[in-house]
Formats: sequence, structure tokens, C-alpha cells
Amino acid sequence: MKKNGFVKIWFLITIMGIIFSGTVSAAGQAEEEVPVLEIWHYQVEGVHVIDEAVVRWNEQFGDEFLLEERYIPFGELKREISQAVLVGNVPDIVNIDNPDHASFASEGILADITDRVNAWGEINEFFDGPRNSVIYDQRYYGVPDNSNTLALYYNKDMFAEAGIDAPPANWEEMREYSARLTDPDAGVYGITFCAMGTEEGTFQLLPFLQMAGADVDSLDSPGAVEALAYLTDLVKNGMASREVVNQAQEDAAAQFAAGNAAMAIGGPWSLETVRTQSDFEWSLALLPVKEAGGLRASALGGENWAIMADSPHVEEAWTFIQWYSEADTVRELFWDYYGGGRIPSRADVANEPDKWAANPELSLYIEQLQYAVPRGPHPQWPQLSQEIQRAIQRSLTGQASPKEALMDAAQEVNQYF
Amino acid sequence: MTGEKRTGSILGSFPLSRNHSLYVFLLPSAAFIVIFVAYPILFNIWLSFHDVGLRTLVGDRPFAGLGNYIRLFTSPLFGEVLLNSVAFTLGSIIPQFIIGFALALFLMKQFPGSSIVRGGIILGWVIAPIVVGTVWRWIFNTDYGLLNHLLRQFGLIDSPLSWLPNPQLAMISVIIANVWLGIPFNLMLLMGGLSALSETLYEAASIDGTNRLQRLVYITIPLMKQTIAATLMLGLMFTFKVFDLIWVMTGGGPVDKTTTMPILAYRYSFTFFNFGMGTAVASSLFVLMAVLSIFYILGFVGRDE
Repeated sequence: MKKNGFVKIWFLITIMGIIFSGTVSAAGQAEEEVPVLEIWHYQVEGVHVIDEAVVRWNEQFGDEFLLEERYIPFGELKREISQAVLVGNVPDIVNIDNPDHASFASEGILADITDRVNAWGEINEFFDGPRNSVIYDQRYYGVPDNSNTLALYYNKDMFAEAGIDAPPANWEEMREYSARLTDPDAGVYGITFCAMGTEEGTFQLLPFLQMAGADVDSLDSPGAVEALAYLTDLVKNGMASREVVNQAQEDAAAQFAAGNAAMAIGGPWSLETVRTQSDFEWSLALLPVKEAGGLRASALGGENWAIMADSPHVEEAWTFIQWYSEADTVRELFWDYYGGGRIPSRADVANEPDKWAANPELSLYIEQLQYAVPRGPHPQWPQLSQEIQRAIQRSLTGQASPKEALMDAAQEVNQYF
Repeated sequence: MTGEKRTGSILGSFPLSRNHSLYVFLLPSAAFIVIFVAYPILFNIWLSFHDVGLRTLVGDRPFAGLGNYIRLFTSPLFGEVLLNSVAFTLGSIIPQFIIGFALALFLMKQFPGSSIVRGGIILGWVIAPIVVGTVWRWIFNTDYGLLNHLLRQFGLIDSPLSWLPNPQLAMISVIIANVWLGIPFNLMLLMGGLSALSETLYEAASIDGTNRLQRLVYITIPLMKQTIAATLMLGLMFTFKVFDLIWVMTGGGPVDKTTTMPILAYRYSFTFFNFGMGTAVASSLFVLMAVLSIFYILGFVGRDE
């Protein structure tokens, strides 16, 4: 009985000890604890400066608060964010695709940071397109991060072999060169692009409609029909693979790099793929215009920063975004550290000419960026985009004539305007 | 009376009889089902009667009545998607079952290496559908896919077929991939059923001079009725809700030709943030499956003659 009692007391002391030590260490930590802010984004390591920005922030300003970044694949990010909203455990900062910004803002899940943006006073240094994409209902819901656009990659070796000395300048040349460069026996198509039933498809092919003078709100115009008919002919006549309706932009770049297509429409994020995987001379050109002197257009892509409305750390989140968006930080991160592949949305930094001399490819993208047209901003952009994708796919797969496909799309789309 | 008192001594003070008190032991599993199965389903159904976007996902969710369902059933897309789902499901489970059954009969025989073959076939079942989808996507590729290469080698086609980009072939392509994926499952269930059949029946039948076909039709199939029904039923349910395989192979395209109900539900919810419509699709799918299950249970379960 006595022994039993001893064991009980010993046990009690041990338990007390464990509890006590636990509280002490917890109290010890609490003194130096700083908030940890979570950033969600879809940039794979090495293709963007987010990871480096987080490292630098934590080194320099880690005593204010710490940052944690989490990579979520592009296709999953919207789902993850909506689940986070449902569970009530949201990240503090998100880095999102700019056409989605208005849709997120209209859903009320992003913090309205108009007063902070105005107090900062540098938002007018940004390119118009990116800046417009963070505005919803005349309020600021974010700050543009980086921008990108599309250009035409072309295989110089194949061009030389076919006796073509310059990239196509207009649609007619693009069609003619595509026909000349297509070689079914060697498995080579004249051109490749992405016409997938996702935002990527809209991104790549809407510029063709815009070069023909049409836009989302005029899908039934003759220009739009002409543009889609032009693209459809490329596929129908075998100058582009039928797989374009099921291949992502990265697949198109990979096909080009593998020498399976003489030209490809692609963004600056594919530069790395093409540089490392190709074994031929290549270069970049502006997207060919419809006819000499015609309208230039290209898609405006890129990401924006936003703060989640439910974040308990809006103030800190803004401090980070402001730091990241200062001209000096942008220079350090985008040029000194990353050296290209991403174009800052700050026009003042992007237009510093000496930065571009070493990188002719990026300077071409900067040139193209002047003609980049933002998608939206429109709170129903995902729905509008889907109708455009449908029209492209129906026409490219021969289920409908270009005109019929676009008339149907226009009917659906026009209810949103 | 005395016996009753003795066995009830521990539980005697409970207001329940001994039999009822045993239900207490069901609590953990009942709680599990309620929390992880019943609650999500009910919440899902509840959401489908509301107007839910991201903003209204938490907090105020305006009641929409049958609005979501009316919009869904009257949209021209819904009929097409339902037909796609039915085509995908029947197109998948019938060949899966026939091939699975044939293979099961074959693999019941002992031959050198039979256990290796059995193991190898089941391997297909443990590969994630995402991986299977990616591989089949490559096999079906117009320009460098394996299938077109083989068909050309054998001279069956002159020019490459575009499988996935072709509206007429896309559904067939995803069905082929899904049949491949589902065969091992059918095979395992059917082999389980076959191994329970008694050898003596077959011996007696062969003494009576029956041939193989007669034994299959008059002995194996009637005795396997329960297993066959269970296999088809489970296959039906699994196939109706296949998402990842189709998503990876076609994303529902081209032009919705492979959009099935789960893909439609995903798109409403996570591309358009229209959770009301998304859950309406998911709930319709659930009701459809529940009705089929009820027919199955009434028709087959517990009817062992």
C-alpha cells in the first residue's frame, strides 16, 4: 500500500513537471514571437522572385514579422483559396493571375487597400493595364507584381533552310511560312500554339481577334470571324497540329524546343525551356499584325498581389507588398537577382534602357508589352473566357464554322455587358 | 429470471436492456459516419438550395429555393453532360466487366507464372489515376503517340488520328483509358467470387458430359449472380464519379465532349465560384446514385436462395 502511494506521488510529480516545463517554454517563446504571414502563389521554384523576396524579407525584417510562402499549382490555387475561405483559415497574402483579380475582388474576399495605395503615392508608376486589373468598382484591391505578354518564337535554322530571311510580319506571311516550313515526313509543323479550353487558350488567341479589331464585347464582328477563320485554317490545313486544342502553353514551347514546330506563340516564362532544351538557333519576333500597318495586340498576363480581407495582419501584409513594390526592391529582385524572364509591372523600372541591353529577348517582350491588352477587368471574366474558349475549340475541331461559333459565343457573352 | 439478473449485473443500472446497451459500442463508428459522411452530404444538399459564391460561402447565404436546380436542368449543357456521363459509365463498365470476367476465368487456372500474371494485372489498380491519365494522354497523342505509331506500323491507318482533340474520338479515348484502369478491380472481385465456388459441382457436371460453355452458363454465372451484381454496381458508382482521369486527359474538352457530371460540378464551383450550382450538380449525382443503390439493395442483397 505504501509502495503504491509512493508511485502515485512520483507519477504526480512527473506530470506536474511536464506541464510546468511546457508552460515555461511556451512563455519563453511568447516573448520573442512575431507574427508569421502566409503567402500563397503558383510560381514553381526558380521561375519567379517570390521565394527570394521572402528569404530577403525574413533576413532583413524578420524581427517585425516573418513570411512563409506556399506553392500551389496554378489549377489548384482558386480551389484552395475558396476552401480556405470556407474553413475561415485564409492566407494573408495571395499572388494571383491578373484576369481573376476582379472576380476575387467582386466576391469580397480581398481587402480594400485604396487608402494605403493612395498614401503610398506610387501606383501611377505602373503600366496602365496591370494597374487597371487591381481596380474594382473604383477601389484598389491589390498591387500589380509582374507582367508578361506573348511573342513569336521562330527557329532560325529552319527559316534559313527554307530560304526565309525574316520572321513573318503579317498574317499572310505567317500562313505562307507555316505552309513552307511544315514537313509531315519529318514530323514538323509550321507553327504551334495553345488553344486549350482553359484561360491559357483565351490568353493565346484573343490577341488575334484584337488585331482584327474585335474584342470580347464584339465577338460577332466580321474581324473576329476573320481571325478565327485564319487560325482554323492553320489547323485544318495541317500547318498546326490538331493537338493544339489539348496542349498547354508549356507543351507548345516544348514542341518548339524539340524542333517539332518551326514557330510557336509563347511567353517569357518559356525562355528557359527553349534555351535549355533546343539545339538550334532561334529568336523572337512581335506577333505578326493582320496586314501591314494594322493594329498591334498581345495578351497582357501577369500576377498581382492582394491581401485577403479576413487576414488578421492586413497592416503587416501591406508593409511587405509596399517594400516589394518599391523601385529599389524591384530592381534588386528582378534584375540583379533574377536577370529576366519576368517584367516588372512598374513602367519606370521596366523602361530603364540600360537594364535591357544584355537581354534582347526581354527587350522584345517589353516592346510587345506596349500593345498588351488586359483581359477584363470584369468580375465575370472566367465565364466570358469560357465562351471564348468554346468558340475557339468548336471552330478548330470543325464542329462549327468560325462564324457560327462566334455568334453563339457573342450571344452568351453579351448578357454580361 | 435469475440468469437475467446475473448477466445484467454490470449493466443492470443502465436504463437500457442488455441488447440495447450494446448499441453504445456502435457510437464511435456512428459518430465517424455522421461527421465524415452524413454531414458533408447534407451540407452539400443544403448548399444547393442557396445562392452561394465565395463572398457568401461563410455567413449569409441567401435562400434560392429550387433556383439552382431549375437553372441546371434547363441549361442546354446539362443534357449533354448527363449523356456524356451515361456514355462514359456504360462504355466503361461493360467492357471492364467482360474483360475482367474473362481474365478471371483464365487466371483461376494454374499455369506456370500464373501468380506473377495475377500480381502484374493488379498492379494497374494501384497506380494513381493521374499517372494513368498522363500516360494515356501520351499514348493518344496525334503526333508522337504510341497508338498512332502502332496503327500505322500495322497499316491500319494512313494518316495519324487525332484522338483526344477530335470531338468524335475524345470520349472513346477516355473510355479506353478508364477500361484499362478498371479491369483489375473487376478481376479481383470476380476472382474472389470464383474461388468460393465448389470444385465438386464442376466435377459432377463434367461426368454428366457438359461442355465448358454449358458449365459457364448453367453453373458459374448463376452461382456468381451476387458477385456479378456487386461488381457491376460498384463499378457503376465508381465510374460515374471518375474525375481525375478525365481531368488530366482532356479537362472535359474538346468543347465539353468529355465533360461529365463531376467535371461540371468542379467547373461551377472552382472556376466560376458558383458553389450553389456546383453543389446542385453534385447533389443530383448523389440522388441518382442513391436511387440506383436502392434498386440494387432491393433486388439483390439478402436474396440468397
